[in-house]
Amino acid sequence: MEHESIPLLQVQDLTVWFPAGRTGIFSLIRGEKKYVRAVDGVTFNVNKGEVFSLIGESGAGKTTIGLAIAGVYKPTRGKILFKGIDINSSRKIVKNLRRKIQMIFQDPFESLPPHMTIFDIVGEGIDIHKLAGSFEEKIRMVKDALENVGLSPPEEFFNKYPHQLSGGQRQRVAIASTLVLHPDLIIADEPVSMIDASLRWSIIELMMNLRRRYGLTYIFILHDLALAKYISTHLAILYLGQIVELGTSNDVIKKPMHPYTRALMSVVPSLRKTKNEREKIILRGEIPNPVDLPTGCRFHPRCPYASSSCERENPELIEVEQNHYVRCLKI
Amino acid sequence: MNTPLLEVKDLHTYYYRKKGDTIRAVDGVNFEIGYGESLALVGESGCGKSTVAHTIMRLLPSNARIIKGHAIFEGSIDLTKVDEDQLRDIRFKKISIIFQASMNMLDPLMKVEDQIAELIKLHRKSVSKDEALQEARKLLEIVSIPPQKGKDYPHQLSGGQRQRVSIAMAIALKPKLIIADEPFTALDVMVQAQLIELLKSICKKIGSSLMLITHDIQVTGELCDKMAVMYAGKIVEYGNIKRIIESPAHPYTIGLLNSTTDITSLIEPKSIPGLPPDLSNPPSGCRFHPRCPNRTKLCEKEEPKLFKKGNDHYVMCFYS
Repeated sequence: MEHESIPLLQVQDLTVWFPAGRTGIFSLIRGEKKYVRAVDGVTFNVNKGEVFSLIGESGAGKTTIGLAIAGVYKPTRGKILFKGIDINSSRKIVKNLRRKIQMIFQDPFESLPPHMTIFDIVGEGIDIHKLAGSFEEKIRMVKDALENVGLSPPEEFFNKYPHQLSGGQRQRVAIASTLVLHPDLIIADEPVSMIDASLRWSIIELMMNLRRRYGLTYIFILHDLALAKYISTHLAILYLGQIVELGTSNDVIKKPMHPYTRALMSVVPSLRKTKNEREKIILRGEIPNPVDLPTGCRFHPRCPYASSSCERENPELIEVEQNHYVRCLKI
Repeated sequence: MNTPLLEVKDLHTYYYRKKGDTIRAVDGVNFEIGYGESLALVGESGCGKSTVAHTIMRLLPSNARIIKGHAIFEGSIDLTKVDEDQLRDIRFKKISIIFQASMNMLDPLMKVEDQIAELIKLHRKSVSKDEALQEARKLLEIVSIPPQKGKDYPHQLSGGQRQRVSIAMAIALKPKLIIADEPFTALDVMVQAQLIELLKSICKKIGSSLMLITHDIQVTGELCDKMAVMYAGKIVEYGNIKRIIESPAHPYTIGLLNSTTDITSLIEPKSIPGLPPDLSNPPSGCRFHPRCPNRTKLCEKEEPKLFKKGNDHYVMCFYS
């Protein structure tokens, strides 16, 4: 079995580029090819039981990383090792391995097939992976899964369709449909951003309880640092396909070092700070287009501290303190 | 006493469904917005907060009826009674609205600067085409859209930029009141912060009042002076926003505040147990009683009145 010291998941130099859509006739003649560099050399480890959060604005590449780990995208370069095995090596080896990595999506209104009953949605994975010996066993497994996510009595939900449920209930169904497969790693892509603020925490609480009960490991993809602070053991702040800061949740929140992390933290809405007490660092503009990347440090066009060296040199991710990595020339 | 800009009195708006039942979405709502003031209308989805906005703007679907009540604008116009002709003079000119899915509001076949110019020309007949276009470009500048982007079509803009365009349209005719219905929900935190600053500065500049409708109580503190917390078709707490955030009195408001995550706090959030009620068959007595931690027999039988708890602070609860 797996060795103690091997992390559950190793992402090594992960790079995912997509060919850019419109290429003009001149670039065709010159043979130039443009790419959307969605993820560009991302490296991190996740150990069993950790809650690792990928934080960034849309366009930062966080969802692409999640989908690459789930096996949806093949890396352009780099490797993803799960329990020490490359998930993109031969199909035979990885079939059972892949089942252990499951994903939950942002929009529970779109991620569940509208024409299937809750029983069929939750039971589908059981059939695909032939996990139940008999129909009775399948019923029992679906029932357990629904009960585990707080949908009780489970029988009442069997014949319902997704549109008959609230957003929170649908997200619970999505969680149940991953649970029946006994995953080790769950990637949750903005699981509560579409849910009412008042009900968000109940979904998070459920996921944290399941983690304790089943020894699950989570990768959360979030834009809300306040939420990430409560639930994560580790944080990676992403900007334009690269990690700009990485460390334990405590270190990153208490001592944010990268200017981008500081800006993100300063704009998290808070009721406990009044208008004048807080100093907000509002970055101008939006995240640039990942086809034509800025030279040097990718953050320099929006960085309040940028100097001419930032335009030229691309900083490396450096360990500034123990287990706290920052990509910035000024540190 | 000064007359407020908008005074909503005992407003009832119901939806009639084919099945024959009635959804009491807005069921006796009262509030005021003064000149230059900003009000946050806060509540979970399905509490009727958007219906309040749609009633004021008269954008209700055909199966909705304003049953009772008034929405008095500028002391004389009753928005619940005006006809279509009068509405044309009110929408955008006096009251404008920014929707959550602004991307769906923009015409996909028109350049964004042309859309804004068209709006200006429609309402101000004396303006020439060129003048309207000039003004549209000025508005895009105010909302920080780069000038060359004005020639783009909506699909070429990001979500944040489209929301900026709809803000530009909302302020084009310098309305007295801007209604923003969940304007930040689909956007990133940084874009959200940019838009909060933008709305704040614009309201100040053109002196309009703001009504912010949101389920996320966290964004209200930075933008609003007053708060109305809505639950199941009724306003359960109302008053000065600082007072409510510092000493919330209604158990629902307390629940909402406890459910928020906060970067500066170490206390774990807590969800409000249960779900909002079905408004075709609301609970007896106080509508919050099935989810309330402090409920008694009285709460099941009798509905509390909105009573004055302190200066500029009103609560609908027997035990606060």
